[in-house]
Amino acid sequence: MSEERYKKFVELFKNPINRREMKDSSVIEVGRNTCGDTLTIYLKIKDGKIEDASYEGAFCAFSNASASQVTEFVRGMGIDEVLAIDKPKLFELIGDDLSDNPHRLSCILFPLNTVKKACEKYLDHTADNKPKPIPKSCAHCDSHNAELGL
Amino acid sequence: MAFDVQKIREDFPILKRKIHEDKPLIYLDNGATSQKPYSVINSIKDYYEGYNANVHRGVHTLSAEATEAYEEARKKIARFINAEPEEVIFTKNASEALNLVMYSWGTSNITSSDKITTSIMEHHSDFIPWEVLAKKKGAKFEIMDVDKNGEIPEPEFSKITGAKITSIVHASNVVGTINPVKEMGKIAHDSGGVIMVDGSQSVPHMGVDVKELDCDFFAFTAHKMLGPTGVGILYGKKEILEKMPPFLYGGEMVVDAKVTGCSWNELPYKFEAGTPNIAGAIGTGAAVDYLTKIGMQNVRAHELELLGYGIEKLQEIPNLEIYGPLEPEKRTGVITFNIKGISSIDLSNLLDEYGIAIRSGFHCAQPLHDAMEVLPSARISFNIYNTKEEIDYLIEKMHEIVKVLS
Repeated sequence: MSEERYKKFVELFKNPINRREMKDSSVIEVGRNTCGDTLTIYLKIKDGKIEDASYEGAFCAFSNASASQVTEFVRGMGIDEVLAIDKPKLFELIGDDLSDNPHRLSCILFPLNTVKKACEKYLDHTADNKPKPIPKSCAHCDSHNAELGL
Repeated sequence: MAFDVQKIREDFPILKRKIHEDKPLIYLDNGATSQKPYSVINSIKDYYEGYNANVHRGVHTLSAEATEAYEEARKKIARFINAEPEEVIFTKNASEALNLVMYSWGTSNITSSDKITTSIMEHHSDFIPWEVLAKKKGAKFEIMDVDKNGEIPEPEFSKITGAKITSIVHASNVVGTINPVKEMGKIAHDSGGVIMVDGSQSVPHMGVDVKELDCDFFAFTAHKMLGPTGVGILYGKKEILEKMPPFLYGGEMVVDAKVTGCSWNELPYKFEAGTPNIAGAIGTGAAVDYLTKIGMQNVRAHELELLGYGIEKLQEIPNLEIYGPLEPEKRTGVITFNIKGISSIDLSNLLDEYGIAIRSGFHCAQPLHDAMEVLPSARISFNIYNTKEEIDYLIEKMHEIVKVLS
């Protein structure tokens, strides 16, 4: 991948969109990528639609660029629509399929996967119209610790 | 033998390859795995082309030749670390060697009233097995901490006292620190415990004598010392190995298999169930020959030169912080660092554009990163074929990348 193409990601890295804490979010999800990067996704959801989305914490240029774009384009989408976004759709939305830099695929997928986990968490906790408190947690760490019996 | 790095480079065919069409390969990821000389590659080819057969099985010519080569490799490795051949067990990697001790020695010796001690600078392969065993048995799990230089301060050594087993890395794969394992072993023995040493990052870079270290177990891996992947080595003191139950069951490890019960084979075969990685073991023997010919003192001297130069040049990069001791003689050939505001994965990904291979992430040592409160890091690591010119090229490209990302 050329430095030129990198610049597109670097631009979003230097000037990220939606990189902010959201005090009145409906759900917060903390994601952890296998490389060690962590990301907090905030979603404000009303009537099954994403009213606002933001993030904090992504560290590398690729996850920042992806998080900036993902939080931008999920705004206005229904939860089902967000959960239906697949890889080709994501590539179309961010304008790159990383075919010449596959090592960074997980950086690009990471924000979307965390947004989807936030949506699933929201659905879990609002099922049957009986809202339960939504914990802030890290799905990766929880499952890892469960495997270790910790 | 005089050390001639250019002559050595000719022995490694991969160093001729180009990356991204025309960039010469600058391989600085030796902490992950080393490259292989022709002699290692050819020894594997010779086995498959000339005498491929299973070992310790048939009475035909090929099987005898394969067995002889496999056992000869064991003897070479034993001489290399000053052990007896029956104390050298082939595993599939260092992780398996460490797990073998945890499963065999650990599950039969550790109880809820015991203590296991390790350090925060362990590779996951020497941390998680003991963490899990301690949890499973309800045993106490003590972790020696590091100071801001990435060294274990001496007062921490007191955690070894009273531990039934202490498992400690010889040289850290992150901060490079060489731990005083002989001194630690003495503390362990004085209170009736045993010591296991993870030598994955030490054996490839410096002479190791397990008798001199007086450790009870010592694990390392072939692929970081110019040998093939798929071969790990566990050294254990004979009297301890003899008392341990087998780790895996199956062929080779049994001498008498009856429906009423079995009796186990002698050392080292009791711990080598199933067909081993014969070609890999033979390749490891060839790697030992290669390193022996160069001389481990020359390997270490070259590495110290690169370390000193690398540490000095890296500090020219703005906002770069090196983790671990800055004195080359305190560490093996890894330099781990971060540049403020730049992700190590972005850095390594962009260096790849120039044909430079380095590592980024936690290097399978997340507890250490957490303890030092640092982000996933970038790591350069050397071997005998690296040069100062390669370091110069790395630094030049790092300056350019820092400008782009800052």
